[in-house]
This record gives sequence, structure tokens and C-alpha cells, in this order.
Amino acid sequence: MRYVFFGVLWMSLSMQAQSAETAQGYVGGAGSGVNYRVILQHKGGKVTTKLCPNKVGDSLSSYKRTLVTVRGNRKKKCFEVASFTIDKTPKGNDPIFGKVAQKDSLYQVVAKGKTYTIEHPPSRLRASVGKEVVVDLAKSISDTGKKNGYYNVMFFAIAP
Amino acid sequence: MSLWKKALFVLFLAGLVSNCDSDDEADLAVNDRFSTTGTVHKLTTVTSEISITDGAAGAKYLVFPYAVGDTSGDNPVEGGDANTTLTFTVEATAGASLTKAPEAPAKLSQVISGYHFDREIRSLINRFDPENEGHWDAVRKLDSWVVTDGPYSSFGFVERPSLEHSFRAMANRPKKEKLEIRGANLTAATCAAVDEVSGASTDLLDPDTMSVFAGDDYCLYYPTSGVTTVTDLELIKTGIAKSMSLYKTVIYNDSFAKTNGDYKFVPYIVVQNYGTDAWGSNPDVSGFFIESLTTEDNYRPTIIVASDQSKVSAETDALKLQEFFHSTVSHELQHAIMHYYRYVNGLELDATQYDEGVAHYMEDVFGYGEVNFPIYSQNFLSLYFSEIGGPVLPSISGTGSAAERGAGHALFHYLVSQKGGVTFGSDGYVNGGTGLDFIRSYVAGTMRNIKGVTAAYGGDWTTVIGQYLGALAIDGASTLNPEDAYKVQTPETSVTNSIGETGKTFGMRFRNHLTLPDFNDAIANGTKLSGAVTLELQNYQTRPLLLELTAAEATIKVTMVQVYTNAGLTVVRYE
Repeated sequence: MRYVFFGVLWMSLSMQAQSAETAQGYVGGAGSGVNYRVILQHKGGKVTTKLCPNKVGDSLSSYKRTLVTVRGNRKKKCFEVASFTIDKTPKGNDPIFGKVAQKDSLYQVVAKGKTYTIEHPPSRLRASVGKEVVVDLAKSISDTGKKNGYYNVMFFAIAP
Repeated sequence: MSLWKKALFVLFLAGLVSNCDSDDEADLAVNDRFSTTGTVHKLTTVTSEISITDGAAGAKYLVFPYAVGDTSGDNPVEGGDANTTLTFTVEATAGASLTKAPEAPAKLSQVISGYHFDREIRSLINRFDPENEGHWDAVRKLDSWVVTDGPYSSFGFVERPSLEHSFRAMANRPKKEKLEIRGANLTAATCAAVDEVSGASTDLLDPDTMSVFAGDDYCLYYPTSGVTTVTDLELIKTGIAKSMSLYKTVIYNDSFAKTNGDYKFVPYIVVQNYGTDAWGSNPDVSGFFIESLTTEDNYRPTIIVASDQSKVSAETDALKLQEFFHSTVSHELQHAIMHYYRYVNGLELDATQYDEGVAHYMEDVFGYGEVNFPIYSQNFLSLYFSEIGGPVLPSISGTGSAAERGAGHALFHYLVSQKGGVTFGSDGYVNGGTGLDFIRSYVAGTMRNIKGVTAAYGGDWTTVIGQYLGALAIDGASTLNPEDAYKVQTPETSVTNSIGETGKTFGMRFRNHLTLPDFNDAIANGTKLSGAVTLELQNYQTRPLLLELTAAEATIKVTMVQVYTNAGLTVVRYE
């Protein structure tokens, strides 16, 4: 009975795997002009996954060098992406998802459970008040910033 | 562990903690003595002070802060990208003043030539998917650009239809049935029959309107009628054969004999009559190498070139149109060669900035610098001194703008120059030069992108890029700075192009070519700073600052928000 249970469980997992495969890698680009494709560079080697051109896969070019997991179907020539998650920022840190807010002259990223005040807000962040963003932040090391608990932006993108 | 060993261990840990703190604190690092001509200072602490001890009051220098990020590992930085922001603060703290160029109008980056506009839309149209909203955004972006000349110069005005309108019409056009394409009989002959080869529309070529010529190491498919600007078939053969020969015997010293399945390196160069159904959905394209046809349909490197360049260019001069045609062949052959080395090694193509940078450089080598430079490098160099100057190595998705491609073009020109440049024989054709060893090592190597470039080039990449920033600023413009690191190869004026035209120019000076603005123009309405200036940069991007000495001794202080990987400050003598 126990073997039947595990057999059914294995079949179930296999079917799930067939319907939604995953791949993980750093987002990059290959080729130019008509040949341009978004690719995932896998950790630790020269293996790459070429993404099929579609709206979701193409949108990944906005998150170059982040480590992402894509879900979809692996085709003969490329991976058809249905959805993806950003696992790590280019610096290898956990991404922070939040909304850009402005409080007087200060710009903040309001994330779940924490608000980060930015010491030197980059122009793209200043232009994104009210938008959902994904950022990588580092604690300020300047005297003023450290004193006031400010952060600085190392990576910034509009959230997927 | 004994008590004294524990005590030592605690002291050791305390030392580690203390060191970590000191890295994060604003340490002051006094750098080496400033030379009269300038140097590249590597920035390894949050705050650095650059001391000038042998200057002269009144001397002018240009100052460039920058960083290039990681160049190795699993996830190297491939170029400047807007997602990564670097914040530098620069201040002249003693003995000097700093001046910052004024901010340029943002629209300037959207002013492009008609010829470049052709090239911009060619890739978009070829990969266009009406279901992809991102592609529609790209169409609208093109629609917003101001085109300076040629048939597209009226774009953006009320009286003409928009590109979006044209794309909507194209998207609604019924798709043609594609015939079964085979590769089985391709080994039977050097060149497949006309009706066995896929062309620009990806349909098979029409034997009623196209013919084939089998060259020694290439196949030429050409229209038997309807050609207006490129009428000399023998000249086309001459140009292709010469390009192939120079690539094989001089530039790469390789017969390109490796294969991958049915694929082998016998390029199919398909000259198609622009404006017909055979051209397909590529109405404004001068030429292109198509990877998918190369590996999935024809099993040969497949290059498409427009037979009538007047329809895809704003140019009206017949000789220049002829040069565009043959320059395009040289350019696309380089793409095919880059693809060859990557494909037989099981690698993806390199990113746009590298692939296009080398291909545009090769157009110069083949004698087409005069039609190539004004479109690409000049576009980049003209913006370099302004507030909108992009990274000197941009991370490009897709085709890239003329300025972005020009950045790659100019960078490879510098790198090859620094490695010894290229030489030309008494017949005017390229015949060697140690700079080509670098190109060969990179393109024929087994590492892509920045890893491939840096491995082939050697040395310290941060310093290389710092010196390149200096070269962009003063090559050809300053007589006070004779150092080779800030120069490119002296332009040649007796080069023969691939179709045998003599007296062509190879190369460029970065700062005294044609009507390029120089730093004096940029700084004319600049702001003399009373304190520190904060600069927001991407990797590989800089903002030039003018440093004027008021005393023999001076100090510049540079502060980074974080210690950026591979950061530097270039200081070069200007006047």
C-alpha cells in the first residue's frame, strides 16, 4: 500500500513538472538586432537558457543581472516563460519590494513592515513616486545618513 | 584551548571587527603624486583624496569619476545599466576649482539621422510580435524621435502617418503559408538551389526572379530584375570575395572549417529587392545577419542585403549608396563570423554592445570608415561631454541607438589601437597589426562578453577604462598630454575598400574629427562649483569636470556612497 501511495505521489509530481517547468539563472542578453534574445546564465558555468520571445520573457530584460526563477514550458529551441520571480539582486541580496513615497523632501520605499528613507535618491526613484518597485538597499555609511538611519540604492527597477 | 590562546583569539576577532568597521568608515586614502599629464587613480575606500603636488596655477585638467563593476564570476557587469546607480561626490578642497558642464536638453538623445533610423526599425520589424505590448512601446518610442534628414525626417509631424499606423497595417496583413524547408540535400552542392533557400521574408526564394552564383567560399543569391542602385554584379562578387579573403587570411587567419550538424561556414548572401513581397516585413532594412535562418532553415550563415540602398537610406549620392551596400556586407559577415565561433563552441551570441562594436569596427578596417563613423562613433562622441552622455560601454537590449552602438565602435577602436593597431599594405588592404591579435583572441575565444574581452586584452580593466575616458577627452585635442594611453592609432588615408576604391580613410581622432564639440564648447556655459558636486552615474558612465589649478598644490576629494567595485578617478591634463 505504501508503495502505491508513493507511486501515485511520484506520478502526480511528474505531471506537475511537465505542466510547469522551472529554470533559474542570471538575466542577460545575447545577440543584437533581429537576433537579440533574453537569456538566463546559469550559476557556475557556461550553460544558458534562451527565452522564447513573448511578453513575459521579454520583460525580463528590465531586470538584467538579477537571479530569477522562471516557470513555463521548455521548448526545443527556447523556454517559454509564463511567470517569474526575482530571487536575488545583482549584488546577491534578497530583493525588497515596496512602493515609492515622498514625505516632504525625503523619498522613501515603503515595504511590508518597514519603511526605508533614501539618502541619495536616484532620479529614476524620484520619478517613481506611487509606483511599486524592487530595490536593493544598503545602510548609509555617511555620518548624517548613519545617524538618521538612511539607506542608499544599489539596484532599482519598477516591480514586475 | 588555554586561557592565553583564548585571549589572543578574542583579540584577533576584535581586530577583524575593527577592520570591517574601518572599511565602512570614511577613510581618507592619500593617493600617489599627481603627474603633469594625469593618471588613473583607483578608488578603494569610501573617501579618497588625490593630492596634486607638482602642478602650476592656471593649468587645466579634466576629472572623471567612474566604476566598471565585476568583470569576472558568474554574474559580471556587461555594461552600464540604468538599474544600477552609483553616487559619487567630488570636491576641490584646496588649490583648485571645479566646473561642471550644464545639463543638456533631454530631447537631444532622440535626434537621429535618417540612415540610423532605418537601421533602428529594421530589427524591430523583423521580430515584431503584435501580441507583445513591449514591441508596441518600442514603435511609439521610434515615433517620438526626431529624424534629421532623409525620407523619415517628416516623422513626428501631423501631415504624415505614424509608424504605429504602419505597424498596425502590417500586423493585420494575412501571413503567408511557409513552404516546407529542408536541409537534407544541402550537402549535395556548395550552394543550394534558389528555391531551397529562405530569404528576408523567411519564404523560399523565387527562382523566377532570383538567381544564384556559387563563389569559392560563399553563395550569392541575387535578383535578376528590379535592381536600381547596385547593378554591377561583378562588383558585388568582388566585394564579397575580398571581404571573405581578408577575414580568412588576415583578420582571423582561419578557414572557418568547423561544423555543427548540417551547418557549415559557407555564407549565403541574399540580395533582395526592397519593396517587394519577397522582402517581407522588413521595409526599411539595409541588411542583416539572421541567426535563426542560419541554424534552423538554411544551415549556412544567412545575410540579407537590400539591393536598392536608396530606398533604405536618406543618402542620394550613388557612390555612397554603393559603399553602404558593400559596407553592410562587411559588417554582416563579421556578425556571421562571431556567430560561427560561438555556435561551433555551443555558446550563445555575445551581447549587442560587443557584437555590434566589433562589426562596426570592421567596416572601418574594410575601408568604409567615412560612411560608418558619422553615423555611430560621432553620435556617441558628440554626446560624451554632455549631461546626457551615456555609458562608454552600455548594456544594450535589442538593436541599440546609434550612440550606444557608437560607444562599442569607439571602444573597440581604442582597444585595438592600444594593442598595436592594424596595418595596411602598399595595395591599401589591411595586412596585419598586433591589434588584430586582440580581436582574434576575443572573437575566436571561448568566453563571451566582458569575460572574453578582458581575457583577450589582459591588464587591469579598471585602469584600461580610466585611460579610455582620458583618451575620449583629449585624443587629438591636447598637445600637453603626449602619453600613448590617451591616444588611438593615427588615421590612415590611403586605404582600399573591399571593392577596390583607393584613398579611403581608416580610423578617427576622438576629439578633432569633423564638427565634434569639444570640452570647451561643453563647459562654455558651465557652472563653477563653490563646494562639492554629487554625480549620479551608471557603471561605465562618467561626467567630466574641469579642474583649474589656482596653486601649485591642490587636493580633490572623492566620496562614494558605497565602495564600488573597480572604481577609479581619471585626471588628465587638458590645457
